[in-house]
Amino acid sequence: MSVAAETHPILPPQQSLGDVTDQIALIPLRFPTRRRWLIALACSSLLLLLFVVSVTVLFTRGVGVWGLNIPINWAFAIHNYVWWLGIGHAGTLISALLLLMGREWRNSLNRFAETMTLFAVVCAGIYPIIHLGRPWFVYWMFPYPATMKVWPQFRSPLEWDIWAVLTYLTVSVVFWYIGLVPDLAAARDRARKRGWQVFFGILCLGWRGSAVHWMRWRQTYLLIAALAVPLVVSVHSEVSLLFASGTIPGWHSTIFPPYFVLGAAFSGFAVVAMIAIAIRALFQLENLVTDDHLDVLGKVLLACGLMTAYGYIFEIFDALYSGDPHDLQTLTDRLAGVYWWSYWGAIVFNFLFLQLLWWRPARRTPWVLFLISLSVAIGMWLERYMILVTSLYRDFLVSSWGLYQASFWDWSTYFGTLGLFLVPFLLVIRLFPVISIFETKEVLHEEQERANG
Amino acid sequence: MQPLVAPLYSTRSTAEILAMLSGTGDPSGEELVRATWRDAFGDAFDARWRQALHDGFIADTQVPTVSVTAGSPELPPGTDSANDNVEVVFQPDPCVWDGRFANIAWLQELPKPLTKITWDCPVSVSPHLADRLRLANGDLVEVSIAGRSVVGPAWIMPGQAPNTVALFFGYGRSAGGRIACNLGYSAFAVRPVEPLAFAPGDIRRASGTRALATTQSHHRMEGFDFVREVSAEHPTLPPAKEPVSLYPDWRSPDYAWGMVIDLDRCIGCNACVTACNVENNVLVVGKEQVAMGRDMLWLRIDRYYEGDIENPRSFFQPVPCMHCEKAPCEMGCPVHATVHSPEGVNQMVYNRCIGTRTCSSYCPYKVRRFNWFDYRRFDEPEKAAHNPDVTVRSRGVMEKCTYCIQRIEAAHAAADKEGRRIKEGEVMTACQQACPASAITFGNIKDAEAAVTKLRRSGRNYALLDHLGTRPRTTYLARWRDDAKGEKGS
Repeated sequence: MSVAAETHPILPPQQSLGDVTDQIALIPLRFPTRRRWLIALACSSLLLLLFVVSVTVLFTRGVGVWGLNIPINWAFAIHNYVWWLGIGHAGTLISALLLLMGREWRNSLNRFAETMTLFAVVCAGIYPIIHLGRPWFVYWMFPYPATMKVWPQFRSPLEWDIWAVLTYLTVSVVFWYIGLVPDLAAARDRARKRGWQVFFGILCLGWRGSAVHWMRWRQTYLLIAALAVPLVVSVHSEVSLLFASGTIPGWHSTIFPPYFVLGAAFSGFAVVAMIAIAIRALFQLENLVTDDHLDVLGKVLLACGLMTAYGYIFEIFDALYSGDPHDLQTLTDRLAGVYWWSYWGAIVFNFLFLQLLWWRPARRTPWVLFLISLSVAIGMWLERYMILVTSLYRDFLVSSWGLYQASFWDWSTYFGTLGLFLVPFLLVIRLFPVISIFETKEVLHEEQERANG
Repeated sequence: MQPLVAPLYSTRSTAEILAMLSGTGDPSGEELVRATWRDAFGDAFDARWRQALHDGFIADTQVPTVSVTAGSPELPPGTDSANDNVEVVFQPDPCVWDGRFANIAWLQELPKPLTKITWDCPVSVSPHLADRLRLANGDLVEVSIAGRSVVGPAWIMPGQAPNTVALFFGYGRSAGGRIACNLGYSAFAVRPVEPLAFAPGDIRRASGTRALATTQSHHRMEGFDFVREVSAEHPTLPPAKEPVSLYPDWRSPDYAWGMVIDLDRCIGCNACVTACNVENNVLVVGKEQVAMGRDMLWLRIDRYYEGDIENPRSFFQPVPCMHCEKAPCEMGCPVHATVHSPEGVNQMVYNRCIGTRTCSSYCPYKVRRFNWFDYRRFDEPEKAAHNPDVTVRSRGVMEKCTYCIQRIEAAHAAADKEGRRIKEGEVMTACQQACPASAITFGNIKDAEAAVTKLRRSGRNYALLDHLGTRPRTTYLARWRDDAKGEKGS
């Protein structure tokens, strides 16, 4: 990927810097695809409405409306929580990790990747709250000065979860916003209507683009990026401990933290690729999100997928090597139990179609890459389902084996969170520059300089 | 004085109705009973009346002992197994008997000892017949005797004699209360006048299946050693290897409660389960919820088979909370809602529980129960049925066996008042008290002389899933087996 960025220009060099600013900054100001955007917003709003209805039913009647039971105490809520959070991580990896590593090709992708992170984390974060038996007492998980002097229980992975997710959400918001400031100023300067001028004027915090501004900005941006990258690893490692800390066969494994982090990046890059392809088609941004970008995304996706597959192999090896009868039982249940489809579905959707990405034309064809990414998102969803349900439904004592079937409200809540993700995401691409203007120009400028001598 | 419970409503007692039938206008029940006993008690009537009310019984009124000898009844000839006919055996239901207890929801929701079915009665078929008719559990079958027939869901009963079908009484009622009606089939409808216990009949597959609400879906032990056995040749189990723990041991001050369950004595009768339900206000959730895997039993009796399905070995294992010293649940709860008491009881603080269900996910024994909905009912007379010393749990909280903590606390209060220690045997858990086979022993394991401590030192003592290092306070005594195939001990 570094070869692509250094020797071969990733952006077509014949476009001017001013054109780029106009093209992106004018998207919110003179919104080009109102119709398609409105249709998308209407569909997403319906999903959001479904979410509101589902949560109202859930809160009125209790978590029993889901298909849960003993032994399967956790299913959709926790598995979707992990899935959404995993998706969120790719935004941070693209923006912060690649920024620190000086990979400029990320400049066309980072804005919507960060936006995706933000709302994916919101979707993730809402699940552990609504899944509570008594959600109105969620504040008991915080160390507030209670009159009874009761503290949260700091040995619990759920307690770490609260801190991990909130820290991650805070850092993601700050990183996203700081990255947005120079572009908000550019939009302010190009706004013609008073309302837009005030809107962007307030949000850009008085940015004038002086050299001192840029220096301070760069320092801050790099510092926050350096904070965000280790958070990806720690947050998702922590999420895996939610399982690994339990005694349950199929969960109680030291392989979980890296396995989860890689899986998170894998699913996240898949969703970034999907969004990149959709936005590029929606706003005709082929000159900024180029085939080369898709090519790089395809390679990253393939690499993450292979590392996740390595996790799968070692999970099996672990069970076989331990020789523990309960671990072996869980392994058999995964491969050939009632929920075999979740295991083999994960294998097929995650790794089978992925192999097409070895082939360069597949990486550079938007619809092929889109379908493969969609398959990975589904595959990782199945994987999380598999990790939860196939471990819980048959744990230690044969007598307590049970079965789980998702109820209507399980599904409706899940589809509802898609609305919870899409509605704010669509609003952001309506209101803010969807691609980082100055960072794209920076790449373009460097490439033009290099081309000129 | 005995507490006065009946009459609950303004109704008439049996004695009053009888008196009215024999012509007394509007009698008072108490006067009738007094009148009956006035002659028997004689001069000391008032004193003896008060004594009887105080004791709850009248001394020396027991039925005299009679001696009986077993005769040799003439059994009707068995059915020919080559014939297509089967032998239909009539049995009272193990929980609601002939139907007289059918309106008690606790008993409807009590899993039947062998099948673990609730709220229904199956047609019990032998594995041989099931094989012949290609039946699976829940498939509807029609059993007909002399032109009359009933339809019920089949249940394949391991070890049942090849050509037999068992029908159970107590169900198929169309009157008799909200709980009792519209469940199962009525075996009385096909029972012949003579002979009463069994009759030749036919069984055939009917169309359709019925989902049975069971509390245990899998009955084979699958080669695990949940129930362990010793024999005369190897009377002790091999010593357990206890995994190390990173956490320091708990310091118990004076008392450390523990329980030992003797698997050799357990007969799987369900008395402990019922006693637990009643003592601890365990709520009834209904057939649909049980079918979804949401029964609320704090104490369950696991039922296992091993070996050939035609002639299996079978086991019962009561499983309450293990009250682990190193409890995975306590580590998982983010809000300190399940904590270790100084006396080693793993406690649930209902008020503090926010319902993350982590404790249950982490529990290797799956003894925790969750209030998925608000299962409480506050109508009369159910309110009166609740034990006032035990909280009735609300929606969204976890619950489980507490070792009858209310009884432990009552014993503490009594002992404190008298300035002494709690005596051995003073605290009895409800399950222990109800067990007809004295299979359950409970007490202070810090007291070297306590019965529970002695049993814990027995060579038959073992902890369920001891390799996990949870160090349960509830342990089991291995079963004796007659042949020499017991585990090789030291």
